[in-house]
Amino acid sequence: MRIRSKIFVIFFITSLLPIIFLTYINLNFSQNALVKDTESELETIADLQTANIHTIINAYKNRINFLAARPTVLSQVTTFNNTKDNTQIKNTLNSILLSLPDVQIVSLIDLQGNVVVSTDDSVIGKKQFISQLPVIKVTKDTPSIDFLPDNDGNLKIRFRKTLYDKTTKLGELEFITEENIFNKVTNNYIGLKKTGEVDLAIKDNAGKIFFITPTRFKKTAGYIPSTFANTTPSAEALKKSNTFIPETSDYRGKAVSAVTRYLSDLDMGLVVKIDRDEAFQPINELRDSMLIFSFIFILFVVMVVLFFVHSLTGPIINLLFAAKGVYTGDLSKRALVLSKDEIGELSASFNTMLDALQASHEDLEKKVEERTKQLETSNKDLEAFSYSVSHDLRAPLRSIDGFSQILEEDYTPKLDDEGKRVIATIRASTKQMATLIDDLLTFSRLGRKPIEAQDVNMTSLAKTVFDELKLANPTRVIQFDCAELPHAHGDAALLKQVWVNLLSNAIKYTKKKETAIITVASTSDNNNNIYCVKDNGAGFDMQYKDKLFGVFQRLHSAQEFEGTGVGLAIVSRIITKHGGSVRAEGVVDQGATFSFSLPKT
Amino acid sequence: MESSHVNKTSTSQRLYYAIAGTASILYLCLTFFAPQANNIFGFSPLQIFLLKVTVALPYIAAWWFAVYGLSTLEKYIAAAKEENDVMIRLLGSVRNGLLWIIVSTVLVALIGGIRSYFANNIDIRPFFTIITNYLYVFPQLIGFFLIYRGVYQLQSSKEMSEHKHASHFLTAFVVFFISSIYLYLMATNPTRQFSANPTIPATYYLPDILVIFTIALPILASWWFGFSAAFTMSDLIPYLTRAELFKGISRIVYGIWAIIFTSILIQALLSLGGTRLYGLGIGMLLLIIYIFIILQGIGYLFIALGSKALQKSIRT
Repeated sequence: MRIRSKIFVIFFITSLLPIIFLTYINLNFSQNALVKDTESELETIADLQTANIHTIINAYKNRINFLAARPTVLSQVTTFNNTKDNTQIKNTLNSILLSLPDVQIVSLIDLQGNVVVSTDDSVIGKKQFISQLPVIKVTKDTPSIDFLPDNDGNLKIRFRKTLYDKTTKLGELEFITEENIFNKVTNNYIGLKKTGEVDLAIKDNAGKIFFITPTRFKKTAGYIPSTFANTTPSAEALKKSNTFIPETSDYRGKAVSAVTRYLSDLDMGLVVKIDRDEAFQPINELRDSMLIFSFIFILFVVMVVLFFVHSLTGPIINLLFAAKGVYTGDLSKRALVLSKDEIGELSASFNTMLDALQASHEDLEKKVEERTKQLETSNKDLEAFSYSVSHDLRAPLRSIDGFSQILEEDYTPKLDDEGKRVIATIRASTKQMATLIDDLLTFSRLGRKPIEAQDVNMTSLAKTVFDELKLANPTRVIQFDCAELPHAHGDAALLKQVWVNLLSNAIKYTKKKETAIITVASTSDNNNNIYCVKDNGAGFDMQYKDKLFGVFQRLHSAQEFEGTGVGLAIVSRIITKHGGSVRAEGVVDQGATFSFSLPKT
Repeated sequence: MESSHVNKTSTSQRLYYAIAGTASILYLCLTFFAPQANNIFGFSPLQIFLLKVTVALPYIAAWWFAVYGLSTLEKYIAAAKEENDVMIRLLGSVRNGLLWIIVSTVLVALIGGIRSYFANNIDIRPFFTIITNYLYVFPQLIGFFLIYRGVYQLQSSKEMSEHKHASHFLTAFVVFFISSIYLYLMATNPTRQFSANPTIPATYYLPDILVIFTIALPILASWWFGFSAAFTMSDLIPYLTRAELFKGISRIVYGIWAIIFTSILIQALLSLGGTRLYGLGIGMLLLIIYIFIILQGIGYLFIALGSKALQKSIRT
């Protein structure tokens, strides 16, 4: 990842985390506070409505208990049971009805459960008279309280109290309410905002859950079976649970918060609930505000970080760009000085450093140029000197050789043996001197002569050179093996000189062997071809191997093996000029191997 | 080098100023003579007047920054053409892209002004809403695409090809983050297609499928083009060899960033929906509006300053 991406991501995350944390804390605290408020409000309403229900029920209970205990009523019922004359008791029931405005029918039930006297004559002789629907619920308390659905689906409440004359059961006194007395409770929405409601539910004898009052959002039904019997707050209340449920689904499937109460005396569940959408509306508004605020803040952070990253890293990257230019050898590159801060100072210092470096570099270049010129002049002078010395030495040497030859040819008869030996020595020394001068001239010419590179068949060249050398040594027995050598790219004349020097050395240093064995072979590595000349001659001690390629360096005396000590120096110089290297290995009296490498291309 | 093009006010530049002047007068008239709309927050006439002044004048100031920036950029491009400047293609595209964005900003403001005369006509409200939404979306998409294309061409040029960097990571990071919030706000907008409250208009008056394909996706694409262009420009700027060019193009990049953020802010507000927007309260609402206006002004101010710095680079 690049520096600007790193800085951006780090800054971004660093600023994002506190925002997320603060938003979370704020929303969490607010939500908890709101949940507590909602719980408290719903609990208060639930307790209030529970108390209201008990007040209503107790009022009816007290009345029926009072009436059922009145001696007048008991004596009239006894009279009716004995005489079947209902005049008195009917009048009494009618007067009771008038005193109870919420009651629709007041009846006397005989021991078989049939209505025998009633304020409504149409129900006389019947057991179930409100509708054809069965009684939903019958409580076992006394007075009993039962829920009866009428034909319109509305619930009516029936109170029944057994009448006793001392211990003798006379029948039952019955009130049936005109309407559902609990509607007063559930129709009261005070403190419940737009979506809150109080629901009352019971289980019928089959265990099915019913609402006993119309709900706020389904008013047409008097009682409706709960479709979420096991999960709705009403079901929870009927499990005898008095609790607060922060989040659940109601009969509509909507998310609500609810408080449940179980009314044990009525085996009834009371639920006070409110839609979470409404209850937590302030939280949603707070969340929206926080989201927008966070979004704007993050946009601001992103923008500031982008500006910051660009203004910080731009000059640094520019500096790097200039430094890379210097690295590749372009000293004219300069960093832009864009500010007066530390980065600006760094760029300015870098430029000052480059100015000094460029001046120093130019100065150095100049000095190198001057030194090179001086060196070239010295080299030329040295080569000219070497050449002229070698060349000038040849003339007197030729005279010495010429005169000693005349002396030998014309005055031999006049010379004694010692004189003849001296002349022979002069002539041999002169020849050796001439050879030495020739080698020196060759060596000095090598420094000046440019390479004329071409493809060279090294196998053919080695074999040709060996054949020529063999002609000069007709008496020698030499076993020469030359492998197929790779072609070389170089100066044919110079490479021939290499083969001449190496092969002539091999022939020379094997002269003491009855049969000389000379092998020419090659190997190669990734970049070079390596050519070897191996013999079974005098060899050499490896501790002197570094001296072998120096001018005039010899490991054997001239008496033992003739030579000037320049041949291997010439080989080394030619090979070095071709970009290769030379190497020697040997064991005394067992032979030597000289190898040289040349670049493949 | 003093170029003859630099000091010459071309016909197109005069046209920019003429259009900006006309649009400014028109916008001021539409704003100040507009009939009294639903006064949801119960402002007094003086407060309404002050609100109009503090919104309309900075808004117009931003246009003039933009026109000055465009005109100066035009001068620089004309002069740089003669100097065979490598930035010419990029800046040409930047100018064209900005032109689309500025024109859409002005048109949206003018249509908004006209709409205020029909504030109580519920039947015509969807027409104005849809037109305004599309005027935000498509010119902006074209504008950012042109800038992106210019940057891409610059990056592919011989001079800049060796400094090619992929800014996809940063672009993806920023666009993904912002898009997530934008799409969340859009998806939870209760008045996306319809509004139950007659005083609060719906946000789009379009089916969801059209909202997604003709509003959300083009908006996301335009942000991608915008961020990608700005990040890539920001990456190439350090390789410029003249301080004036560095400063000038940097300011233009800052301007483009600010314009992108303005676009993000306005889209975030739109996607919030009327109900939630009013639910924020007048304080928050005004804060957001002023941030939007200031940000837009800063964006175009940076473009103007950048263009001025570029022009200076020619003079020096």
